[in-house]
Amino acid sequence: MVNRTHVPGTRPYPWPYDGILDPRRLALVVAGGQTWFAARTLDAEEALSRLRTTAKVVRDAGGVVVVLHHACPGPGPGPGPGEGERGGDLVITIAAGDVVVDCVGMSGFSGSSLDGELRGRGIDRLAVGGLGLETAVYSTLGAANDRGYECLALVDACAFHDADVGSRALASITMSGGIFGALGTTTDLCDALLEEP
Amino acid sequence: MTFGTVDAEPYPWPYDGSVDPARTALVCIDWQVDFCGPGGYVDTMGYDLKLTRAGLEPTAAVLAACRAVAMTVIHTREGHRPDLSDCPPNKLWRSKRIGAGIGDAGPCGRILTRGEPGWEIVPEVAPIEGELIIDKPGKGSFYATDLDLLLRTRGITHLIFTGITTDVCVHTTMRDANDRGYECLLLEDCTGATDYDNYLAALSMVKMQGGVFGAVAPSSALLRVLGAG
Repeated sequence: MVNRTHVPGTRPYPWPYDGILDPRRLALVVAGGQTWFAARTLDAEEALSRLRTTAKVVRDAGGVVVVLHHACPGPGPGPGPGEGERGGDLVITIAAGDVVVDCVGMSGFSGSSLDGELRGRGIDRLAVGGLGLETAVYSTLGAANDRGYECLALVDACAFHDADVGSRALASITMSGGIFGALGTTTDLCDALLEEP
Repeated sequence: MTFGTVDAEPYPWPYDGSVDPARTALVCIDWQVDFCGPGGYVDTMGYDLKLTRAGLEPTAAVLAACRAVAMTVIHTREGHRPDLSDCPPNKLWRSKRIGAGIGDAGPCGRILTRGEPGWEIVPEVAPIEGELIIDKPGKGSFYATDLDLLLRTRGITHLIFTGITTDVCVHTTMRDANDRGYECLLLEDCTGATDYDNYLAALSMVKMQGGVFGAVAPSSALLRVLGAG
């Protein structure tokens, strides 16, 4: 008998799809948590603050916190994340047990060990937030979704590069019944995790 | 033989100077009945097909121009094995919940299923003999396919994109390509989404931060460079 639990208020469907909110199968993925992104997003501090709070709840519940560390993607024109070879230093604090994953480019799955780190821990559902909804977060969601991960985009913990473009990017995620997963808030996710028996 | 630089935003494309058909591929994404034909997956979900069909005519002109300069042409198709063994359970669940279940029978055969009429590329932009076709189980064209190997084997470093939908399959593919170091151009009138504002935002997302995923141009700018405009 499986106890079905969803995060309240997610859209366009109750997340996770199968109602199995087992924290041991959950990772909080922080994308774009670096200086390059912090300098180019709106309200980055607010998103980081929510991510810190959520990270603590996820850790305490038995989930894993994964922090992406983006490097420059190859030989292209190099506007992002550029400034030398890296997206800059991390702007989020790492705690014991957290996993830092180096990735090449905007998606956490590009040239990285992320898929292996997650599968090796039996994690198949991801709550994703960070700095750069339209860049690092969106790329990571799209790649995760193709790999079968059940994704929740944390709308109150995603800093936009641009208010209008960011809100349309969120709208895109909700098309076709949740094309990359669902949208929800950190407070609702934390409430659901704290209620877990 | 190389051509000039495409008048694109936010920078003249490609970054390294000129269009070289030997190192460039035209990638046409998911021009399938399921995404732009009556009775397909997108139609079954109730979206306006005019939005996803808008790019067909300009794409046909681009295809002709690229074929004339012997550029590699690649077509992708999203679809699952008939037994759905390559369909993640959450993807299947979501599609059924919105009333367009993958593998379910529809007016164009089983939705998003390989070999069915809905999975075929529409005649306006259909592949011709010798062009490469990538069958993919997801939104991106690199994951679980041999696309990267085909491109590397041909020495291709630059990609020009057409296809649907802009914010999903085109973006996922273009972002992955950019992360892999390919220099990317999206033709803005050769693509469309299930929502017009989301389409516009998807174009903006490519161009932001100095061209974070490449550049965007109207197809007329490419045709001029190829001598077909």
